[in-house]
Amino acid sequence: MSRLALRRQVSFRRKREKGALETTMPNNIDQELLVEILKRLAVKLLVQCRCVSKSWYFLISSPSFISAHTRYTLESNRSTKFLLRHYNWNSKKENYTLHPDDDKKGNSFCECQELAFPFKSYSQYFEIVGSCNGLLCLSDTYATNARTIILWNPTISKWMTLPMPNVNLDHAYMFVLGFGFDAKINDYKVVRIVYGMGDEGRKVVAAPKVELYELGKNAWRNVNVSKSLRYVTSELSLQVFLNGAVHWIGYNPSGAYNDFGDLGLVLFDMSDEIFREQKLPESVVGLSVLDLSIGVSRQLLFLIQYNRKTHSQWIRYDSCCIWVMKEYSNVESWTKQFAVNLNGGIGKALGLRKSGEIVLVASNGELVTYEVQSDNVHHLGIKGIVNSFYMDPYFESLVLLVGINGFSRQPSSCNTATPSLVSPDYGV
Amino acid sequence: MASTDDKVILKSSEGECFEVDMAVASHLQIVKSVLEDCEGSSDKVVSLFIVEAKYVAMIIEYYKNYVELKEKHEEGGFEEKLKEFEKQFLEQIDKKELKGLVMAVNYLNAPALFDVVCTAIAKHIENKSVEYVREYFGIVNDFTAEEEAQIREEHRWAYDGVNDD
Repeated sequence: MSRLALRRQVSFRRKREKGALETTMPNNIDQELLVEILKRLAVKLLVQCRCVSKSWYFLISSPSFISAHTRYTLESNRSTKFLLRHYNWNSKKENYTLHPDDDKKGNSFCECQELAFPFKSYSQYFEIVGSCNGLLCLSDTYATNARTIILWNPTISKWMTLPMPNVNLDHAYMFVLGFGFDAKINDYKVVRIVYGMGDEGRKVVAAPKVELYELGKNAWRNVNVSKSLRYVTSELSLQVFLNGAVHWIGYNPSGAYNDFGDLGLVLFDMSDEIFREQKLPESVVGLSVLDLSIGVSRQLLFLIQYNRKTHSQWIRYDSCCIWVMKEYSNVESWTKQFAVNLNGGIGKALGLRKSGEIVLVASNGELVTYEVQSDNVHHLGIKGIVNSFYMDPYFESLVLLVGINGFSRQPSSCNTATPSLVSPDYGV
Repeated sequence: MASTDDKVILKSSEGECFEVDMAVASHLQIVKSVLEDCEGSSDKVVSLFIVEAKYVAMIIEYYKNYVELKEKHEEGGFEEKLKEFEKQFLEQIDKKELKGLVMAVNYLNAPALFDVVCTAIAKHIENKSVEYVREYFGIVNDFTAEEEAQIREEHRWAYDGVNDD
């Protein structure tokens, strides 16, 4: 029985025993009940409702309400939209758009709504590290070894630039980032993995230095890696956050070649702050990291196995297969689910719609959807650089609502600031 | 025909009595635990103290249908049929009464109906103005005009396309 229900029952019994009973219902809904109603509201209305009264302002801005709302949104699974990012050569613009994710097929994808993007990348476009509960983690390389890392909530137009990380190696081979949520302490974390260069030239050392950023503390701290690791996470691989852990495709650096011959799954548990490793299906283990990608759809991990065009000097794919891990953590449950063959070649597979269609970028940079049963391809008229395409279910949340946009957030005491102290500042 | 052993009497705040099947009443967690406490006693009257008769009637109507539909659609389709019924059920209830109903349901700890009523209230206020929300929940605005303007300014985008009622 929940604590709330238990308390209610105890108070009911006490009232019965004492015989001292209220005779009418209270006139107004109490705060506990109000939370139950408000957590069912959309983000936009909640932001408006902050000016209902002071008590509503504090309630809606409180970390406990924001996490109750996020949890409810997650559990009720109400995401009906996709977030799509692409960079277009002609407009030289990084576009973030929302598209319906429903059972309707084909063209309904094109009805879109553009999100204001408040940043400018030093290169063409930001690297999207990952997303979690409505927050996107963006990273921008502006100098060797130096990166701007931003947490951005596009729904409420709030963001936070992370402080500079601590770990810097003189002979760093690569930096890999992961983003996720620690349910135990109810906080968002960014993990930064720094790999050093091996003695014999360019080879990477499998024992990385690891540091972790916690949003609540707004600081980085070092994490000890006690376990020896077989795989190195690849900076070329995307990461996904699922079941409390960040997942990457990794490779064994002591293999004959640097990036292929022995692939595996690398996990970093955001709560326990440890690495775990898992095997991949036998037939993909021997691929290059360039030919394997990872994703998540409806709480299931999937792999995209790209098949290269044989007579091509460049890396070009003419088909791909999608593998699904039907039971989380059970290596035996990886199943080859779909095979996609596009005339003209595949640039990148992005994910699955609720309608069952697969969303892909063709080699010419055009976004298409592919119906597996009918083998139908819908051209969606959106074009961009193949690698700039990113797609994710869109999730509305109030995370980062409190505090001003900028380089460092006020410590959590700003949750109790009076409204008159809140000064909007978009000058970053 | 169920025997009287399977019945329980629920008494509203006005003292009005409702004879209800146990299968229905046991969905109210409070009633269930009170009856478990008094097992063996012949007293089958449970006083709901502060809950008004009109809300007791609504709650009973909901769970009576819930139990019947569950029995009838054991093989499947229960959730769909329940959704249909919930729609009709909510249509009969005045929007102001939803507030009283949610307090009653919360007090009696009846999870399925609680979710339905909370969601109905949330749906009702979606796209309503801040003024309407204040009036609906009976809340006095304790912000000064300047403070309120400042909060609105902070997230101006959120106030586009809102109904005036």
